[in-house]
Amino acid sequence: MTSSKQILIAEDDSFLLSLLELQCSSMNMQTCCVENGEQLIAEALSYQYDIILTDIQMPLCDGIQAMQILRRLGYDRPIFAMSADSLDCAGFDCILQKPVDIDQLAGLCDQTPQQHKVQLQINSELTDLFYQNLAQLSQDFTTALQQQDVTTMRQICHKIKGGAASFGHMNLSQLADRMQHRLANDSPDNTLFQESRQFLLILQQSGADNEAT
Amino acid sequence: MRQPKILLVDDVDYSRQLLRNNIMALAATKLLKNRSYNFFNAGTATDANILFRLHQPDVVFLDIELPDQSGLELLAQFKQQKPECCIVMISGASTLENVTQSIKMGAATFIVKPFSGDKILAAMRLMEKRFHQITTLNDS
Repeated sequence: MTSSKQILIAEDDSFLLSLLELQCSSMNMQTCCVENGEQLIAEALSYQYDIILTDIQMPLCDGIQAMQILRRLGYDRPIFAMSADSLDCAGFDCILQKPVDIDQLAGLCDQTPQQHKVQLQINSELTDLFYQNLAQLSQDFTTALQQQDVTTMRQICHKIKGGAASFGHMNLSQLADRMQHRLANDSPDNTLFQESRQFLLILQQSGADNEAT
Repeated sequence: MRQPKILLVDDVDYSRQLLRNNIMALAATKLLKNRSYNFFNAGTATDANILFRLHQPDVVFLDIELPDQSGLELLAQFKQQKPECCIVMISGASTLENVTQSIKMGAATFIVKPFSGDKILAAMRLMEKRFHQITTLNDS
């Protein structure tokens, strides 16, 4: 059985975004929704979507700029635009008139081939290296927490976030991402350090889970 | 056809190993044109600079966050030394600023961690296309 196609939808109007998400889900597609061009670029570079559907006028970076940046980076998968105005712009695979005709969108999505997925190869040697690194980062985080060194704590979270997801620790990766943002943006008070201690426990547990297996 | 030289720059050991293993696996399963590559590893900007000068790689996978220097600064230095070198920027998080800066400085593409087989394949295919264009130009 083949899995459903994955579509990334960028639209700053929350009502239209919800509507498109619902319509694409009803077409048996897996959806991811973002609200501006910057998020669109980040998401498109983070995961391999079969289709991108983007609004043109969005905050931070508009749909045309986002498409041009992705194309400049060699992104060769389909990008469909949605526009209320007539638009002639190279780089999009199709420009849909707003309001979007859902039958037209469904036809385009049907014609778009699903991308072949390539599994990441991870052997036992690599897994051992990951857990050795995780143990070291756990120790470093403990020391940094004792010294209330928020900068080092944030850098460690950044490293964990990038690596953990590749080795199946999705939850740890998401927690590290959240902790990294908290450490970057919030004042270093008792609440933040309490949360950091809880994060450390989860981090240590992730390493211990490996030892137990 | 000579073996392309790839420099892997990341301060995390397993990230470099993961990239190397997966590029070799893609080559072995014939998803890439080249069957083998010469790899060089650097965990710091200092080591990367030395290896770059010594081996003049065709492709660099370059982490933005390095302990001793920004990957963006290193990108500028590499492009100055060898403009035709294909550079893949790697980051745990992309911002509009670091993506546009990377493009302006000449990066060929940008991968946001976590790594996936698809992302590595897409980057390598792009690199192959550029590498073959360059070698064809040099041969003619």
